Amino acid sequence: MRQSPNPYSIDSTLRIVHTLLLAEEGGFLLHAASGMRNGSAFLFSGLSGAGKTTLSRLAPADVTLLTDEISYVRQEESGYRAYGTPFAGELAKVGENVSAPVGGLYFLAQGLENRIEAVEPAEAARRLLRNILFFAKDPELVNGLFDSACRFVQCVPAYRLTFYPDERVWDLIR
Amino acid sequence: MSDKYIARSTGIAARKLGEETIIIAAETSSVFTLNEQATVVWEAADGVTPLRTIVEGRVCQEFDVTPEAAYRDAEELVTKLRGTASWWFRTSPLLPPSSLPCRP
Repeated sequence: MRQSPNPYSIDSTLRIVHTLLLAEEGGFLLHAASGMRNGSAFLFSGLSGAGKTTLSRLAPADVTLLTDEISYVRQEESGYRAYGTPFAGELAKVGENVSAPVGGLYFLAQGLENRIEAVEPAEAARRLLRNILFFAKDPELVNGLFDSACRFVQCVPAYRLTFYPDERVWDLIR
Repeated sequence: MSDKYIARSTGIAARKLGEETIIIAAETSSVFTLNEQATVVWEAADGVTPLRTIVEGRVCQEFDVTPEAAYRDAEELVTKLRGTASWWFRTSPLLPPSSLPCRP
C-alpha cells in the first residue's frame, strides 16, 4: 500500500489495518463515539451528522471520552471491551488510552426530547452492520464480521437514543 | 400451475436472532432482515419441497394466515431476495447427487 506522508494517510492506514486485525478476533471498529462512566463503556453509534461529536462535547466531568468518531471494540472471554482510540472526529481530540467492558450500545437520533427505547437484536445487528468500518471484500472475513455483529447484539443491550442537544441527555446514561 | 422450488444460496450467511433472521450476501455485503413468517420459508427452502407445500404445510400451520395470502407473501419474498442472489429459484426440484444417473 502506498500512501502520501501526511497525518490523514497514517490515520487511514491505521483504520484499515485495525479493521482486519480485529475481524480475525471477533472485534470491530465502529462509527461511534464512546465514553467510560462508572467502570463501563457506552457506545453511541451513527453516521456523520447523527450527533456523535455533539454528545461527546456534552459529556460531564465524570465521563472519560474514548473517542468522538471511531470506537474500538474487542471480544474477550467475558464479553466485549471498548478502548480509547486516536481516531478523532470534529472534536479534534484523541481518546484516553483506557478501556472498559461495554455496557450498552446506543443508536443516535436527534429530537426534541431525551428518550431511550430498546432495540431488538435483529434490528440492532442490521444497524450495527451499517456502522461497522470494513474495507475488505473477502467473503470469509465478511461472514466472520457478520457473526461478530450477531454475537455482539446478543451480549450487549442495544437502544435507540433520541436526544435533545443539552447535557441532560447524559442523565440517561448510567 | 407449475410448482416453484427455492434453495438457499451457498454465498449467504444467516443468523436467527430472536424470532427474526438476518442474512448477509458476502459478495455484496447486502443485509436483510426476515420476519417470523419469512424465516419459516427461509428455513424450509431446501430446493426439494415446493413453495406451495412450504406455505401450506409450515406457514399456515404456524401463523393465522390464509394460504392465498401466505403464498402471495412468500412469492413476494422470493422475488425480492432473488435479485440479491440469496437463493436459487427453480421450476423443478434440486436432485440430490445420489439420484443423478451414472454416466455410461
